[in-house]
Formats: sequence, structure tokens, C-alpha cells
Amino acid sequence: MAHTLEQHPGFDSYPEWNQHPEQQPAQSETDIARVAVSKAFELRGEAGVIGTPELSVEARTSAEIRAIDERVRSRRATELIESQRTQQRAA
Amino acid sequence: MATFRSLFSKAVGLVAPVPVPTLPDLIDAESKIGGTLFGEAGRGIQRRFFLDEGDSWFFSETATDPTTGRKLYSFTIRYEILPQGVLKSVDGKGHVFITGIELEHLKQAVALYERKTDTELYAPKRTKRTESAAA
Repeated sequence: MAHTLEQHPGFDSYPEWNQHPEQQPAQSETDIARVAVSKAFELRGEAGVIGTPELSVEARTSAEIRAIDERVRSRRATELIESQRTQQRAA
Repeated sequence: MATFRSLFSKAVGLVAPVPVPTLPDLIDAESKIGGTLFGEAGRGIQRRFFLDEGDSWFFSETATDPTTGRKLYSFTIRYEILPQGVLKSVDGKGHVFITGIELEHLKQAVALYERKTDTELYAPKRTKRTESAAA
């Protein structure tokens, strides 16, 4: 289960996030956004989910099953097409 | 003898056209193979396991008394494959998302189904077509 930033054990190690806005050193909005994004990616990296939305085991397994389902359906479709072709050629 | 008969029939144009299977035909054939994935069924027990035309897997078991032919019991489990997980219901009731070992076993059964239906159903058809085309 992913931690939100606030719940993450490492959150307290970034004291600047806990500072009252008035106590924080003046930064441009771009700087603030850049730092926030980079910290967020560090945390997501610790959880091993950089760049991908985190899925539960159940959702991941479901996706694996759906991938197999897709291949089963594709094989059925191929079989139907090939059977028709064979019969047309034979006719 | 069978070979001579088939050659003779072919020579005189008596070969009956092979019927083109429909999707339900294929699913029916697959379901019989799927039913063998769970070990040997006892006498009078018929199992089927298959992917329907949508996103659901079905496991059904029907038991009949081998001596009288009387139906003893029957149930159908549906596993609906949804993005958030796999929703199970038995005879249309008791919907629950499965987890743990049951989910893992379903995944293994589905993977085995893919392999076994290919080996036993589709590969022989492909081979037959290839041989016919080459002849």
C-alpha cells in the first residue's frame, strides 16, 4: 500500500515541508514546485513505483489474467478466420 | 483402409466440407479441455472451465449418480475480471473480490488453460491446415 506523502515514514526528514509558510525561505513558485516534485519522486522511488501508478496485488493479477484473456480471444478469432479461408479455398 | 477410403473419396470428389466452427463451438471445445485442469473428476462428475465471450471465467461442476443418472448437485462459479480485481460469485450470488491463494490459483489455471487449449485444440488444427495447403 502506498504511503501518502504525509504518512510516509520519511516525511519528517524533510523539515521544510513541516514549516509554517511564513517560516519558509522565500522561493519562486517554480522552485517550490520543482522541489516538491523531486521529493515526491524520491519517495515513490523508495516504494519502487517510479513512473507507474501503483496497483494492488489484486489489480495487478487481474491485469495479468486480462492479458492472457486477450491472447485466448485473439486465437479464437484467428481460428475462425482461418477456418473460413480454408473452406473458401476448398469450395 | 481408412487412408484408401479417404484417398478414393478425394479422387472422386466425395470429400464432405469440414464445417466452419462458430465461436460457441470453440468455447465449448475449450471448456472440455479446461475441465481437465483440476485433476481427475470422479465417476459421474462433469467439469467445465472456460472464458466466455466477455470478461468472465466460469467453472461449473455437475454430479450425477452413475447408476441412476439422477442429478446430485450442480454449481457454477463466475470469476469476473475487473480492473480493480477479480469478482467471484457462486450461482449468481455472494459477490466477493478474491484474494491470496484463490487468486493465484485462478491465474495459474488461466495460464495453463491458454497453453493446453493451444496444444490440444488449436495446434492440431493449424497443422492440419498447413498439411492440406501443402498437399
